[in-house]
Amino acid sequence: MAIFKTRDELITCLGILYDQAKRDPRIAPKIKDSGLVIQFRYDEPEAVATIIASRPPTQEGAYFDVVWDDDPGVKPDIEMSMKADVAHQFWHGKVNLMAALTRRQIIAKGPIPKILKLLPAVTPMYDMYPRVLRELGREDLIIQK
Amino acid sequence: MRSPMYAYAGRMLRVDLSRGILEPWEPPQELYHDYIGGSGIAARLLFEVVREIPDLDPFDPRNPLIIMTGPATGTALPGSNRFVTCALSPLTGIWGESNCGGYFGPWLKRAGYDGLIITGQAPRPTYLSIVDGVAALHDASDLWGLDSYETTDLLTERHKADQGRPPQVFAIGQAGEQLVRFAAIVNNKGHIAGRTGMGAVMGSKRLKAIVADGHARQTPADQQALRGLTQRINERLRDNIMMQALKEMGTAAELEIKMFMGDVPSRNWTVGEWRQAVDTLGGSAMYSTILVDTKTCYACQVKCKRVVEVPRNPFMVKRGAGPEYEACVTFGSLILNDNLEAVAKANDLCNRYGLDTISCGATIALAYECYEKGLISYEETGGVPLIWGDATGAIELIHQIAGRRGLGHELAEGSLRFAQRRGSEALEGLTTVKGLEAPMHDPRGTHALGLAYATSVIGASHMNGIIFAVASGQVFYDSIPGLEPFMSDDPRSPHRKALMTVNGQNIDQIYGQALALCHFSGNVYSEYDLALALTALTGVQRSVGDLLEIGDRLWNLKRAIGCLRGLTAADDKLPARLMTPLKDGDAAGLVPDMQTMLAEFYELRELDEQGYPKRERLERLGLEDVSEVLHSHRARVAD
Repeated sequence: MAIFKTRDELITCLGILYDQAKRDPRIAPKIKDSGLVIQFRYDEPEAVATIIASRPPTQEGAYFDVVWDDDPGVKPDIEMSMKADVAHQFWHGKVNLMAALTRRQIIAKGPIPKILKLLPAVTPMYDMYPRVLRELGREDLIIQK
Repeated sequence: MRSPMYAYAGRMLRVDLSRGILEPWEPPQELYHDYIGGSGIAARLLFEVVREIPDLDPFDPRNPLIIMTGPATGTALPGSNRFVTCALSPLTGIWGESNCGGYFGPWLKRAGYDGLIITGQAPRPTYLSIVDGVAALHDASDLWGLDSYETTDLLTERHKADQGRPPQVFAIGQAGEQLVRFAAIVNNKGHIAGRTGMGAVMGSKRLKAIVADGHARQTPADQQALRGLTQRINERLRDNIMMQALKEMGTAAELEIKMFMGDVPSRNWTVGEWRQAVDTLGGSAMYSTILVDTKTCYACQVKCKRVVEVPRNPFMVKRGAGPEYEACVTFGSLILNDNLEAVAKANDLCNRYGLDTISCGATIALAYECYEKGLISYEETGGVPLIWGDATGAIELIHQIAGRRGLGHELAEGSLRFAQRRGSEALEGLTTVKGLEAPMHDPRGTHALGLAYATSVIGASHMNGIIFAVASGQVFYDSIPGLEPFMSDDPRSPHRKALMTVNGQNIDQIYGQALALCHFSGNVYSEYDLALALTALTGVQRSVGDLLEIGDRLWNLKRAIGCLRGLTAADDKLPARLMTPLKDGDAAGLVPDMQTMLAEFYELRELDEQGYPKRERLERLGLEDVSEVLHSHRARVAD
C-alpha cells in the first residue's frame, strides 16, 4: 500500500519540506549556485515538483522556486523519476542511492556530475523531513531509525 | 591428441632468467578445463612449487612470477582487457595476485601466449620481448634506474619497428628494483598491477619489463553467441547510470555518494565523515579542475580512466593518468589533505615509481599518526613534518620509499613490518589484514566487507570477491543465494553475510580472476551471461552452478597455499583500528559482528578450527592431492 494516499497528501508533506529547504542557508545556496532546473516526477500518487534555480526566486527569503505542476513551463536539466514511497524513504536518508539507481527504483536523467555534486547539499534534509512530518501531526509516517 | 583450444592460445612461455632459457609449454588441457585461466591456472602452478618448498622466500628466484590472461582476454566482450600477475607475495608471505586492465593482456595473447611463468634471477638487468611467438631476453642495464613511464617510452620506441606499431610494455619503476614490498607493475603509463607487491618480485628477478606484440587471434567456440552477448552487454552499459557516472567522473565519483554512507575513511580511519573531501577530492571536483581528458582500456566503452594535468608548482603533474578513487582517499582524506593537485602529484609519483597507491598511502597515513604520537622524529623524516592536512610530507615520503632512503627504507617494508618495529602505539594505527593494507572502503559502514577483508585469499581486498559491489547495491544476481537484490538493504547486520561472502568470493574467482573480466563492465553481466560467456568462449558447457563450484575450487586452492605458508584461523580478523567504533558519520558507534559472521563462514566453507579447508570439501572439489599435501602439513605442524 502506498504511503501517501492522495496527491494532496504527498504535496503537503514534501511541499513543506521543499519550502523549508529553499530557505535553509545550509542547503539552498548550493542548489541556487548550480543554476539548474531539477524535476522530481513521482508516481503512486502522481505529482511533479520542479526546483527552478535557473532564474531569480519569486518569493522573498527563498533562494529558488519550487513549483508543483505537471508542466512548470521550463525544461528540466535533471529529471528524477521514482515512486512517492521511494521519495519518502529517500528523505528519511533510508535509500541506498547506488542500489536504487541500479535497480531502477530511481531513474535519473541529466548530467551525472551535477546530480552527484548536489547530494552533499541535501543531506540536512534527512533530519528536516521527520521534523516536518511531526509538525504536520503525521508521526505515523515517520520511519523510525 | 589435443582437442581444439577455443579462446586460448593453448601455450604458455616458461622463462628461466638464471639460465636464460625460454621455453614454450603446452599445458595439459585439464588445467584449462578445471582452473579456467587467469589466477585460477596461476594458483595451480604456484601450488606445485609451494608443496615442495612451503617456506620459500618470496624473493627466492624459485618463486614464480606468473602473468596470466583469461579466456575472455582480448576478445570483443566488454571488459575483456584484464590479466593477472601472481606469485608468493613479499608483502603478505601468502598467495599474491594483482589484477590489471589496460592493453598488455590482450597483446600477450596476440603475441601467442596465454601466460608467462617466470623463474630465476637474471645475472644483470634484463627485459623480455615476445613478438608473434618469438621470445628474447635483452640487456636492460640502460633501463635500470628509470621510472616505469621512461621505460615504457624507451621500449615502445625501440620495438615499434618490430610490427610497425607500438607494442605494449609492462614495466617496473625504481620501487620494484629496490624491492619495496608494495611495488607495482605498470602498463601503458596508467594501468597498474598494484596489490600484493608483484613489482618487487619482478625486481628481485632483475626483470625490468616485458614487451608484447603480435597478430595471433584466438577463436571462440561460438562466435555468434559471443557477438550477441557483446551487443547486449554494450547496450546495458550505455543505459546503466553507474557506468555513466564512471564515464563522466571516473571512480572518484564514489566519493560523493559514499562519504555519507560511512564508507570513506579519514584521518587514518579515525574520522567517519570529512565533508570537505566531497567538494575538493571527488569526481566532480576533478571534473571541474584538473581533468583534461579520459582514457579507456581495451574493449571498453565505459572510459573510466582520468587524464589530468596540473600546470603549476608545487604539485605540477604533466598530462597523464589521474588518480582513482583509492588514491583520492589514501592521499586525500586519509591524511586530511583536501588539495586535489597534491593527490594527483602523489598518484603520478606512485605510477612512475611503480607503487601501489593503496598500500603506499595507507603506510604513509600510519607514518603521519606515528609522527603525531612522537614515534617518528622530525630528523627521521629528513626535515619534513608529517602534519595532518599537509600533503608535502606524503610526497617526500613517496620519494624516500621508492628509493629506500631514510625513513622510506623502513616504510618500504609495508605498514605491518613498520608498526612491528615501532611498537604497540604504532600497531594501534595498523589497518592490515594478513599484512595487506585495507582498501578505502570502511567495513564499519558495510559489515559484510569486514568478513570479506578478513577471509580474502590475498588479505584485505575489495576486489577479490564481489562483496563490496553487492553490499553497496551496484551488483546483484537473482539466482545466487546471498547475492540477491535485497542484500544491500541491510548492510549493518550479520544476517546472511557469510553466505554473501562465500558466494561473492566464489563467483568472483571466475568472473574477476579466472575469466578476467573488468569489475566495472562486469557489473552488468548477469550470472547467466557469465556462464554463457565462458561456454561460448571455450566450447565447454558451463552452468551457473558450475561457475560457483569452480570458483569454490579456486578459493580453496588459494586458501590452501596460504595455510601451507602458515596462515591459520587466527589471521582471519580485522585489525583493532577497523574494529573501533567511530564517533561521527553514518556508521558512528558501529562495528561488524565478526564473531557471528566468521562462525557461519567457517561452517559454509567447511574450514576446521585451524582455518584449514577440510579434507571432504577439497576432495569434493577435485583437489585430492591438495588435501593430501595440506593435511600432511597440518599433522606435521601439530607435532
